[in-house]
Amino acid sequence: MRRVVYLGVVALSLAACSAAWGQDQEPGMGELPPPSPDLPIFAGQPATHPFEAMSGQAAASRVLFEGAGPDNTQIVIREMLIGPRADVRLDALPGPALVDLRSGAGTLRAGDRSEQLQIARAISVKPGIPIELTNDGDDSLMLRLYIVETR
Amino acid sequence: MVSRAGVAACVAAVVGCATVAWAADDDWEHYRHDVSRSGEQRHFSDLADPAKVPGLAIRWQWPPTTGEGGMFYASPVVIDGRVFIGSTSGRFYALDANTGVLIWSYPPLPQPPLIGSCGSVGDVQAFGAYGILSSASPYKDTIIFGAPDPAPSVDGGLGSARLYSLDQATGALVWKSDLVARVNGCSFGATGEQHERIAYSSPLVHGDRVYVGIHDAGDDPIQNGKLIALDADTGHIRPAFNFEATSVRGGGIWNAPAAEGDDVLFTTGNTSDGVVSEPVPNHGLSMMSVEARSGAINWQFQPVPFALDDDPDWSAGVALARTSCGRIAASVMKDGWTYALNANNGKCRWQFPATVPPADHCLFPASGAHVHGDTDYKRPAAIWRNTLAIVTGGEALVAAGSVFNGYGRLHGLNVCAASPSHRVRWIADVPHNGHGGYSLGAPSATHGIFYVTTDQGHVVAIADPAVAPPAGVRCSQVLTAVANCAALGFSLVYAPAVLADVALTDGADAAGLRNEPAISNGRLFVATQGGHVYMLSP
Repeated sequence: MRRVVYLGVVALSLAACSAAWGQDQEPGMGELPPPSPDLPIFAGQPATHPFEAMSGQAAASRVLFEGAGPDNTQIVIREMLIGPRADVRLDALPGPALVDLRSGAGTLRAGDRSEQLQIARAISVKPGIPIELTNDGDDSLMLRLYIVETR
Repeated sequence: MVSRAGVAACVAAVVGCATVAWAADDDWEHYRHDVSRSGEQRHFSDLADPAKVPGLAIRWQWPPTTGEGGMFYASPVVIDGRVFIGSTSGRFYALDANTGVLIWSYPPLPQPPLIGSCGSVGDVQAFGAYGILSSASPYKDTIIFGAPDPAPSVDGGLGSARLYSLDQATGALVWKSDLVARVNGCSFGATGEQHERIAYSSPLVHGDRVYVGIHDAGDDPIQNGKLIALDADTGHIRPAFNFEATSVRGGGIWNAPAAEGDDVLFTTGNTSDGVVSEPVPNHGLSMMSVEARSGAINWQFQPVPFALDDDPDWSAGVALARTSCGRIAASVMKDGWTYALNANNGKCRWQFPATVPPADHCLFPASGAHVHGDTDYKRPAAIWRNTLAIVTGGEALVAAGSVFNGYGRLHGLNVCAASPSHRVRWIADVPHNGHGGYSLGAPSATHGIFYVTTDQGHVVAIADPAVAPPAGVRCSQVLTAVANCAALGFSLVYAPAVLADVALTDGADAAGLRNEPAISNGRLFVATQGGHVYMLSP
């Protein structure tokens, strides 16, 4: 008798759940399929200051600021995006610079020096040495370069 | 043989399904629909039918001609065919949901409105003259809302505030609560005065209790955040419940608390404004879970430390949801970062955009490089299944000067995405908004269609691509072109279709701090700062 009662409760539970959750359970639960290449590119609200791809590299950059600094210097602040697991090579910088990680995980190599990039710990780089930046993660890496050029 | 555990599971299943059935009720009884603040209407109606939504049109407005006289920063709640809403004019109204005809108002004329004398009438930042800024909540046959008490015998009528409980049918006063927020002076910045408000905190009715948050006005100066619990039958404060955000000042509760079971969840504001050293305890800038009976802290999540507190108040409240990856508490801070926590223990499941290394559990280091300021991300999310719709900073947030790139946009986020690169589901550029920090209200969801109001007086319906074909494809980081998107670690995501875009006839701002579309019985109810309530349907 007790089993009958228990089975009845189970059946009631399943029926109630079925009634409550019966309709279109799937949409909104999983991720959407990747967009088809046939879809039009959405223009939308135009970006006011977009990033531009760096030729031949999985990276993009934009200049945030460029202007005269003290003692006949030129200050350039550049922001860079580096793709997952990508290496980016920069020519030797024209002046001393600071490399400031904004998001992601990565490594800086300059000459025989290799340092892990960390948020809130800017790394100084001497001029005249090519730089290699590596995104060590599976997500985008963003950093900022503060370059002081002597004019 | 069936075990006791099996029986318990069966009973739990029945109770769980009963809860789902209750949540599917076609009323919109609370701010954000329910006490979990999901922002979701599960009852299917024409508003959930992508084929019918394009026919959305205004069916009535109240008042029929000029506005009510104040502004609606609050949103309608809809219960048993009646619409309840309060205004900055200090009056609270019941309307017929079918016709928009006024049934009653409180206080009835010629009684004075619920406006304190501190500040200018209609100034939503006034210490006492703000009227009614938050949405109401039902309890049994009553409707409960918060407002200043103008009686001269109450702190000189400056604007000390309490909750009011009215009979839903007649508007007759059932009780006035004990005072919950004190105003005893009107001098800006005076630390010797109390400037407590309950303005933007919609009361939470949970069980036989009602909870309301205490916050300040424009940080002049910041007040000590408190959560007050009252008896929903009498309006008396329950002294056994206590939560104060700090020992001095700060940590205001600007939002509507959420609840589930024995837990009450809410968010808190800044503590550093005018306070030199970090208060102890410091429950500011946090998402909190407290025990519903006592206010004892279950957990606290504080992603921005005191050292970086540049006023990124947590103003948006918590949206609670049971998703396929667990029980989630989600919200956006004013600085634009969105968080989803395990609601059981407060552990961070994810941060959006993912900025802090995973090992740091979404907590910014005290020496952090990012700006955490008052950048206006204050609207709570709507949750539809595993999809979170929210006005948030977006993946460009970490780029310089890009905090505004979330304005005027609605992000659809995959709550249960396996990796951060799959977090963004879609991004909608909502039409007809001013692209400022206050350009959109809180979204509301029904079966994959999201409704949102704008500061240019429009109601917009956006369809998740799972329920209607999208408008196109875009990069999940809005500063990056589609061609470079994947190589830079971002994702191609959908631009969802806009199914409807209706201009409200008064053209007034419909994106006030606590404005949301209320979805009930196939009808959509919105209110504007022009002092109108509208009903729309397909």
